[in-house]
Amino acid sequence: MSAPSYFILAALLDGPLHGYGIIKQAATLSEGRVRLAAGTLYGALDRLAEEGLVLADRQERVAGRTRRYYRLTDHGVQALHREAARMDQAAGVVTRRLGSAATTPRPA
Amino acid sequence: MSGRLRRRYERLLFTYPPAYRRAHRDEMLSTLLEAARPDQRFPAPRETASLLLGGLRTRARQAARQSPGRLWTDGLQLGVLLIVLVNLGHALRMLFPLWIALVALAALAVLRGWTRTALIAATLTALAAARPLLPQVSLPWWLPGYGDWSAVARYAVPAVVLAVLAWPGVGRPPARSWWWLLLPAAATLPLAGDTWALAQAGLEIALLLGVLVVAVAALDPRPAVGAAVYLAPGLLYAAEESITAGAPGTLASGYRALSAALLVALAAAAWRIRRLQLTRRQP
Repeated sequence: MSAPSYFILAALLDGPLHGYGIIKQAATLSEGRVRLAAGTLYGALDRLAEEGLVLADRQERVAGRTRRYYRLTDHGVQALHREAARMDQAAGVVTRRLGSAATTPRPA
Repeated sequence: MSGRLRRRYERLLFTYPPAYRRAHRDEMLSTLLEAARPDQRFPAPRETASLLLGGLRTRARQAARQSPGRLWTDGLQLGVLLIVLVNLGHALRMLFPLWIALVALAALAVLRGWTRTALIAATLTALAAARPLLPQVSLPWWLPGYGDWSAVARYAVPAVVLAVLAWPGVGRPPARSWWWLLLPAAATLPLAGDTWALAQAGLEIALLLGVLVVAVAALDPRPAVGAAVYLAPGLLYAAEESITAGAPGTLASGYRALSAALLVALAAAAWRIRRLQLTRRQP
């Protein structure tokens, strides 16, 4: 799963969001590392919808602007959990070895 | 201010397929405008790049879902459309009103996807163009004729391709935008001379290279097939002239070599893209 897709799904964990809401939330969660452009956001949303991970929830008009809200599906929540576990395991491989390397004296 | 920025973003959305644009235009524009600075007048460069790429990728996903037959039909029709529109541009410079009407009918029929009407009109234009070479064919005096087979190629190739498209079981090609008529209209501009011919050839090569890039970026073989069909009559002409009249000048040789290389590159790109789509479809 790509970083934009991961943070889009993560942004939707707390409930449905519209396009700009997803962009802001993904930037916050990634501490500014994932800055989604609109083309990237909607391309990723299309793919995630095709895979059944997100769903268009509802549409509303605010100050003359159309907002469509997206939400996670159950399948999306599971996929996000699996990806988080996979990354946690992958990170563990490195952090454990770095930790043990720091405590083991290197040969001169 | 916001209205101007909105219109500029709206123009960028034209890279997306029409159906996708209809479904997502308003929400995408809202997102883009909400993400813009209050005093912003022009689309941000990263948003521009993202929309251009996003549009091409969306087209690629849609193309990958099309059946192989449909992709070939669309690509062939696009190539024929380019040829008949250029033919119309040439015809508009001649003083044969009924010839213009016949060529225009072929162009209109291809543009609207009326394959059988287009086939009849294109066959008549091909026969008329070949009249001096076909003594047994009696055609009215008001149609111009060409003295060699290679010049007839640009009228014969559309007729042959349209015969394939009109074959029973081959799907009807789509109607194309009326904007395509700007192409023959541009050909009527009072421009002549070697400099203009050179600029025209350079522009044509640059546009076809652009088509190749778009086809590869969008993973859509149709523009590449269309451009390859468009190049075919010119290369037939070049091949025949090389045999009968010997080697042309350096510029003409360069143009022909570039055209031939482009034809090979376009055909290879179309084949490779299709293979890639089929590979991706497999689980």
